[in-house]
Amino acid sequence: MARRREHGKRVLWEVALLAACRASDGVGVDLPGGGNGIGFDDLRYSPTLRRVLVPAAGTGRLDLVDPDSLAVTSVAGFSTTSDYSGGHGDGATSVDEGAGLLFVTDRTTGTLHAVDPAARAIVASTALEAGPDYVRYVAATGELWIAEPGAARIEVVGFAAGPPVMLTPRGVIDVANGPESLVIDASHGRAYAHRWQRSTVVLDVRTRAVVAEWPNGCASSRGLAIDEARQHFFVACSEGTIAVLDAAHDGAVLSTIARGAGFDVIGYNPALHHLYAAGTACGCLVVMGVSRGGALSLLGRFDVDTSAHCATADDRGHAWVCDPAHGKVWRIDDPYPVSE
Amino acid sequence: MRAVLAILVGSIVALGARPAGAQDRVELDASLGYALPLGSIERGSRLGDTTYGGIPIDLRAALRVAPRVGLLASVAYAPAIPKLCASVDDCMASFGRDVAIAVGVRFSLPPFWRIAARVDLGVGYAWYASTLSDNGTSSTRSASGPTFLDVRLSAPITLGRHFALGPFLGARIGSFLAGRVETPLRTIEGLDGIEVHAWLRVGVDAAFTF
Repeated sequence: MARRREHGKRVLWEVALLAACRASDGVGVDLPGGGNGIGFDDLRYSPTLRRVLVPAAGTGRLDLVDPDSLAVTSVAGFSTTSDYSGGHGDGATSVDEGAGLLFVTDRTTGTLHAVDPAARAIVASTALEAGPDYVRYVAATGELWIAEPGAARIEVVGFAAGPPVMLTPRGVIDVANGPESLVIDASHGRAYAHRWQRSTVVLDVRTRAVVAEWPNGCASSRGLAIDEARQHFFVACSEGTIAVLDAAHDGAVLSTIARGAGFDVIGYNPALHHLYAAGTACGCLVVMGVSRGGALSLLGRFDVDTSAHCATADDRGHAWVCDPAHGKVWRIDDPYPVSE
Repeated sequence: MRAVLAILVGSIVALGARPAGAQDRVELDASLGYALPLGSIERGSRLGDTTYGGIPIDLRAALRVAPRVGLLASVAYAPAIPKLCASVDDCMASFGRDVAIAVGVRFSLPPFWRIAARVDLGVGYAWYASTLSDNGTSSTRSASGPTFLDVRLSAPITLGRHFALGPFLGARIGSFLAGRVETPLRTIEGLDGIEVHAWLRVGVDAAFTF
């Protein structure tokens, strides 16, 4: 009976919440020039710089956020737009770290930039053959792989540390009905990218060949993450389904869970074994624990803005969530213990 | 549940007087409205995660057994408006559904002007499903369980000897006991905990009496 009363109270609280302004959980970080909103897409964390990397789209900046002090430093020089009207089609939208540099794609100009984070300056650039989505550094080959879903391919750009830093186009890899998202498993020399529905392709980073295709359980494939040590491969579907695939056993499905909806870019903390998925449809950040055997369990759920579709994790016990509508990122403290 | 039954029985006794001019024994209602989703399907999964709400189409039949009291049976179907879809075809294929049946009691309130307001109370069972379809590939989450309370206040305005039309306001509160997730790869059964959900409903009711 007490439990039933508790349920009743919860429904009443929801009614009250509907009447009030919806508030996000966590601590918000205002980004420079973000007052009218920012068309975020990718969100990353650099353990070496100890900064959250935020390509801030139409503001023309790559923002670096200190996860403790929340101080923001910026690298300027990317494309700017005067207003934000939703989506993520302008300016800097993806970033990755490698060889002491940051690599940033600019959707407006279709350009890949190399950034020196110490000098906070762009040190090299090259034009891409199609509109870029995600950029990832492949240490094994010294290349940048850039997903170009509009052309259904991954473009490969060679990198030379120099000086001067050089970025040189090296070819393309066709991925029909994709590629959506892109993640590199540096330990095993593999790259993963989704097809838009149903499956994920596995590529050998040295031969660039598709070596496997794994059913991923998505009607609408979106985010990817990997636990390289455990060989757990995480798939997020827009419909709110998350699956763990066994990368060591031909992508066998280890578990599936459905919570929230509208997921896109997901984050993973390999020390806590926690997965973070932010959804536009649910206006939520779902935190899941992953057991050693790959079983997913819901740890908790936080309210975030309904424009939030990207999340990442730092190594300080925080999840980070983008808030395009308000031009912010949110730091959410993860209160849950390590998942074993 | 006992409290609801006690209220129903007590009200039947208390409302024993037949209203003047009320001769018809059978009332048939058809209504259309909007239903706002509240509460949770299971732990961490809210009813409103995948839908903006439902468009309930209700059919109700009441048989008057006392001057102000009738026995009620209802069936409702509501397409659930999807939050996630990219094209017209995908959106049409992504409509969810809420199906509910209920039995209960109708209390006719004393008439005021041409308004013959009534309160419906019932219990029942409901089935809910939400779908996302992307370019022909679909994933569906479904759940079913009892309705603890289906309450509706309607205020139809008499427009003819056998016809009345007016607004209604209602709520259906229940829990899901069974759930299923069907992905393109596998089907998962079960729910994580028992939660409470509700649909708050508002709309227009057309009532026919015989």
